[in-house]
Amino acid sequence: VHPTVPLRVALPLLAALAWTHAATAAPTPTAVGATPPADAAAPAVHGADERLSRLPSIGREPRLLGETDTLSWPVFVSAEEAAAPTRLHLAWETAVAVMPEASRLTVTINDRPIADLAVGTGGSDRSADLALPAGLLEPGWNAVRIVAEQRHRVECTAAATFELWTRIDGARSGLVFPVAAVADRRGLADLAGLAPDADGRRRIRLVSPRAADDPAGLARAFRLAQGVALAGGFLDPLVTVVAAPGGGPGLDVVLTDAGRGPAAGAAASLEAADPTRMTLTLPDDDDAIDRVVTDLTHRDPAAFGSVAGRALRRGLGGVVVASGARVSLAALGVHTHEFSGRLFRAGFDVRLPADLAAGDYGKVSLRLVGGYAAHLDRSSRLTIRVDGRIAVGLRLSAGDGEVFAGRPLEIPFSAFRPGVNRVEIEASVGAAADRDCDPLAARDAAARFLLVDRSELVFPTFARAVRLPDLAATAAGGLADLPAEARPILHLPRPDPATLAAAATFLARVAVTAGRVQDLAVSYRAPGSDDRSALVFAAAGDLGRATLASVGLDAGALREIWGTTRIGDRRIAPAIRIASAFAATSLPRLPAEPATTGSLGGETVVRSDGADPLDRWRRSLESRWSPTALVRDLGGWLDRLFRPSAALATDALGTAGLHLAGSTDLVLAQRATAGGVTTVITAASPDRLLAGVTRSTGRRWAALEGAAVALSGDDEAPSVAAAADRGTWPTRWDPANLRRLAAVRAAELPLVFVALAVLAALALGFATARLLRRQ
Amino acid sequence: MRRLATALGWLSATIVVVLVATAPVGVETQAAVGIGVILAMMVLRRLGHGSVERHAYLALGTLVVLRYVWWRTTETLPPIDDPVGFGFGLALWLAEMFCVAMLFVSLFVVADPIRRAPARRLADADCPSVDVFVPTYNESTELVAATLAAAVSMDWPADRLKVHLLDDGATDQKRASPDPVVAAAAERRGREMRALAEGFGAIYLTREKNVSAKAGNLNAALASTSGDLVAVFDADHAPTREFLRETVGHFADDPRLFLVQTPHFFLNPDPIEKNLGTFARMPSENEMFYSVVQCGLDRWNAAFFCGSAAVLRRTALDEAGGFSGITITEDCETALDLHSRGWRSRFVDKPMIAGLQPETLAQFIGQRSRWCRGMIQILLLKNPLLRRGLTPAQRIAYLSSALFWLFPLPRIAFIAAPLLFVFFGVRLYVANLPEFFAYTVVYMIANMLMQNHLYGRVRWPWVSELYEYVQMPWLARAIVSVLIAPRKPTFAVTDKGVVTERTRLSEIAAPYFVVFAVLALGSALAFGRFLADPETNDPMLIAGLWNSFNLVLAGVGLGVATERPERRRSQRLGVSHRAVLEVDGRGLDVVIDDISVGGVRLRSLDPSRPFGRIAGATTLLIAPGDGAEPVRVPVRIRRTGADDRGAFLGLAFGDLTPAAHVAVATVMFGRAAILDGLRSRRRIGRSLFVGTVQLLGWAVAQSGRALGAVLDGRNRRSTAAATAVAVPVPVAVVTGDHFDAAEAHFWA
Repeated sequence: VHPTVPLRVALPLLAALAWTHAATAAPTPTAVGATPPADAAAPAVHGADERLSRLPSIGREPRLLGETDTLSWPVFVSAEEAAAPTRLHLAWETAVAVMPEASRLTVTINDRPIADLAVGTGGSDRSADLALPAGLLEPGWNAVRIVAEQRHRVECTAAATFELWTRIDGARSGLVFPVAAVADRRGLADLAGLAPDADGRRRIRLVSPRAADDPAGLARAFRLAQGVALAGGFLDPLVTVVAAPGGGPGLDVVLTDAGRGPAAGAAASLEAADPTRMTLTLPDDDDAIDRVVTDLTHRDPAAFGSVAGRALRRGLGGVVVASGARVSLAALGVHTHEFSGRLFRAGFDVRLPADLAAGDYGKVSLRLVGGYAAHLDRSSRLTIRVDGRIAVGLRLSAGDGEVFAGRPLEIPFSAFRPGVNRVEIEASVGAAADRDCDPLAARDAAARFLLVDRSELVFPTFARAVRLPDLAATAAGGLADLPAEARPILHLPRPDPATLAAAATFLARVAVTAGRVQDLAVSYRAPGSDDRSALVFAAAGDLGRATLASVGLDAGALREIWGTTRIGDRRIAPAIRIASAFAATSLPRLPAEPATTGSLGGETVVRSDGADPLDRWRRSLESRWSPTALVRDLGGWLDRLFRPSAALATDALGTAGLHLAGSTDLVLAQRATAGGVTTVITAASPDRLLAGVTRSTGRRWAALEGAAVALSGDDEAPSVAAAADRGTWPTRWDPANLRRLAAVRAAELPLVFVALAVLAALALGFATARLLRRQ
Repeated sequence: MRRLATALGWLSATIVVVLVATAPVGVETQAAVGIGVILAMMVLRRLGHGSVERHAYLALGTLVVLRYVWWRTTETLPPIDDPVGFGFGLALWLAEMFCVAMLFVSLFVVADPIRRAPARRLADADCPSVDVFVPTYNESTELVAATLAAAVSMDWPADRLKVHLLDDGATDQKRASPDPVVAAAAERRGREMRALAEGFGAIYLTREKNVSAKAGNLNAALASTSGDLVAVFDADHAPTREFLRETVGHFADDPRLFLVQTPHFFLNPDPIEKNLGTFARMPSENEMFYSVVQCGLDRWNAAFFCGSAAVLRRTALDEAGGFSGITITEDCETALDLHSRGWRSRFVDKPMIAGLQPETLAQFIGQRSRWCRGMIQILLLKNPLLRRGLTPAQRIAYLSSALFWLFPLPRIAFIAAPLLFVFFGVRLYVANLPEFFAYTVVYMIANMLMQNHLYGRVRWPWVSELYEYVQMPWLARAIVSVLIAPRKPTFAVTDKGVVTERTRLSEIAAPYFVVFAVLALGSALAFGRFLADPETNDPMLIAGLWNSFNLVLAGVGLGVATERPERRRSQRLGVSHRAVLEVDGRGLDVVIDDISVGGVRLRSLDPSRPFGRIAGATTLLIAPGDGAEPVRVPVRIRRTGADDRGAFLGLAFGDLTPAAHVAVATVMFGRAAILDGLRSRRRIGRSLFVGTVQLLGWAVAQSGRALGAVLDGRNRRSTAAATAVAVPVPVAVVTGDHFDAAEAHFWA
């Protein structure tokens, strides 16, 4: 319908619709509408008898940043597709600052090099069409990896490397198969082949006409959507609840009345109407759905494919790390690199359990294998960041260089949080040559830093307890880990399509992070005062003042930023049924694709703590040994010592420090109550709620942490309120676990621990004196 | 039932403390705990010194120590894939754990020291017969005479006291030596000693062969005597008059008692005290052992025989076949054998002998080396853990006494560790600066506070470390030699009463200078590297601070290895005793101010008769006890002088008859309270802070003195003039009958 709107500017939904509409009709080169006019040599994405299977979303923007970066996609290929002649089509755009002569993209599939491409002149669209050798793709999961090596045209400073980027155009990149190689999709395993939209996200439409009257029916539909997402390896699916199957790419999950469903004996049937759409039909009853969910979740989702592809699939959304595990960098997706630039950056996500109680009872040891060259600048250093915060550093300035053979770098375990953690390894390795800055010499410069993928992360034994409020733990499935009496009910006071979609999308993302289905009961009323635990999705206008206050949100403040006079006015009332809301087949409005700015800001999560620039400057200028720094360190220590006990006495608000602004899209707030925990996810309106949840479950998933988060547009840093005091629900009761939990608590209340220690010693002294008393 | 409840209470308190000690909290919380506990200790110390306060104080310290041990064991060992670091790291860890284990063992030993009530006074008719053994090998006649005189004048029914001089310097074997010079000397010595003994009414004994050293000598005497009890005094240990009255009563209380041991008390400084000039102020090194450790051992029925100043029961010795002689510390070995046979011991913490200790560093090291080798021999040949018949407490007690002597090994590890890092980059202690302060420094403070609380009155801070450092280089060799050949060591008699003419370097000073130089270089290098890049060189700062502590000890050690002149042969003891000086045939009432076996100092009691005109030889009349007939003691005038208390007269004794000897001994050793007073006068503890400042002061002053001596030694080769240095040292004295206070001095 809108075939000529350039993708990068258009609403992604419209673009997606346009593409899929065109694809279902008669795919032509013009249908894609974005073939680079500047690069006439580049072929069209695909011919008439071909179709493009886009690269799926991997939780980050497909952009290669800095001097070296890697993007990896797990790509599912059916047996028919694997056997067919296949091309990899890549389209990308490069920053102007990138020096064409010294910048390359290396493409590998299943760890086999396919091409070594010049990134080309910056500022223009480029594309490449790579024919894949027969037999390279395997049925099942395959790994597509692009490693960029980029150098700056004119500058040789570390700061200038932030201007280097190459963005892969997800909508126009992917594997190109012959149309004939369409799988005859029948098995549930083939769900993984579901075509993504232009953003790489998969769409799941729950076709459930009765959901509006039947909270229990909605709950099982939600379970089913989560099972599908888990089985298909959909990292961040968009789930909607509709009355009838919709158009566009995606999966229609049709829940039919018993009897009208699939053939007798089969629980579900999967049909592929066209290459981009699938339909899963099954009877709408608990038995059938639970059987399918069990079937979906009890098989190894990464059972088939190449070794590299299966590993990538398993690590989608973060490599799962078990208590006490040793994980090599190779297993985390970081490969051996001899680096000749100035600022080496590598990162990976690890997924820790939702019931992790992180604390200083242990350390994560990075056993570094690698080294650095002689005569680097004195300011050269290796920095390890965890979730955006500096966790540990190491000077790389010994005059003779150094070789590390397992040099341990100890990262305090308290730097980690439940769920997904981003770990970044950054080596700033300036040298004298950078001051002369001969950009051409950069092409064959000597290596300055070596990171070997044999390096290991050694994790401590975890303390296991759900500790809430903590949105990071919530995002990792902590609510479902709560004991039954504290597990919340999902409250949807106004179950309109947008709110339902927001809740379903959120839960599906949680399920993928947690690796299991979040089984929560649904209620169509606002939480009452007798509800111990609640998870509430609603526009702010649909929430009572008491509900907002129960998570520390001030109705007045929300009204101020969102201008809705109704906020907080609503009385707790029985659920409103708006059956008419489900009548329309129209999809809820989805948010626009984020604007591309070319800066790194959108990727980095900036936190509210330590954000004071003056403070940061002071710290960076001062020597650690200056008296003021020592006094401040001491002051900080005393503050950390005394504040928790003081906070305990005053019962400080959990949302203190949360910054709300007019641009705030979505507010997530959580608070532990007596025996339970209440979570509220709200926005100005149902549509904005859905838009906010869509964004937060996409590339901003890592922003969820603390007791409350206010999310704005992609370019703005989220505002985070730290949790003052958390409830603890141990999930293991063995003495070793309780000991570690006690240690976590002791570190939170140091003075109490000191008092306990002194009392224990005094008691021992008294007992000894009694024991030795002579008769 | 009640005891069970108490034990359960103790056990649960211990479990809670262990749980707290092993709680895996971060470094900031640890810092809070460390500072909190140390503050609590300081407060508690001001609150009182009762048993509850004492044990609460020690429990607080224990908590910090346990936290350190847990952290040190679980966090700081180098990774095993760095074999060099791991190997050295493990060695250092073992050394530290040994020290911690010794700390806990000594906490057990001194948990509840016993202060014995005075012994029961026996009526003369009930007094058992006592054989006094004075073994001698090569001591001078003068020394032996003083001891015999003191022994025969002990307060005991004369018919039940026999003094025996056990001369091993004139055995048949020696007199028949193929070397005619040796044979003649032995012959001469035998005659001299026999005459001496007979002069005092003592019995002279010698034997055929010098086998089994001192134990053999004592056993030979056992065979030819028959008293109920045996008192042993080394030839240079003169007993005070009431020695037997204060000890023998205990044997009447307990028929299974085999030993009453009393402390050794010395009239002269050991070389460390002498060279640091601390003799008059600082508690003597052995006081920690006698006044705390032996009293603590006594609680567990494990006080052991120290070779002299003790009384033993003959039946017990007979049962065990006499004194044991397998090791070269026959005393401790004998006690171990008798304890394992179910006999009991007691310790009386009252100094009742006045002895001499080695004066030069070389002699001191020789003596310690013997003790060290002997105790290691006990560990190897008669291990108290494996010995039958001992109580668990006795096993721990003997083990603590023997294992103590392994201290040179951890001491070497503590010196080597920072050097290995500074010079060779060996990472053997994985910790960053905050951890170093929160765990290591806090642990060291708590450890020192505990030591100071336990031993503070008798041991200044860091003095133990100093003594260990000084002995380390030589005792380490001794340990190795015993480990190689456990039965080889033989008994060597320690020389005493040797004269040091002038300030000079000890003949064994070289290692101290080498260690000092290496440590100084290490500290310079460590701080240099740290200052070059303070941001990243935490480990260099840690190593530098640690190494500098060793450097401070080594600096003081230099002073210890630089001998001060010591010209006095016999130490003067401040007394107050009336006597009469014969001047021109007339008696002049005088008071004896101080006395030694060589002479006296007098003041006139008649102001009308100053000393001015007296000259030459004359006689002093001394009454050995109230109402006794005065004894004539020949004297020669040595010097006259005056001080703030008026004129005085210094006299040297001429050739003393046995009776004169006894009279002198009576004045010197008539009252044990004199020794006790001397001892308690020095018992003023130092706080950790003052002790630390003082150590730093010593380090500067002593290393300067040592370097001065090195330069002086060079000059001296050309000039050869000797200058005597006088070091007046005031000591305490208990007054006599007629004077409120008396002041005495030791002169050098």
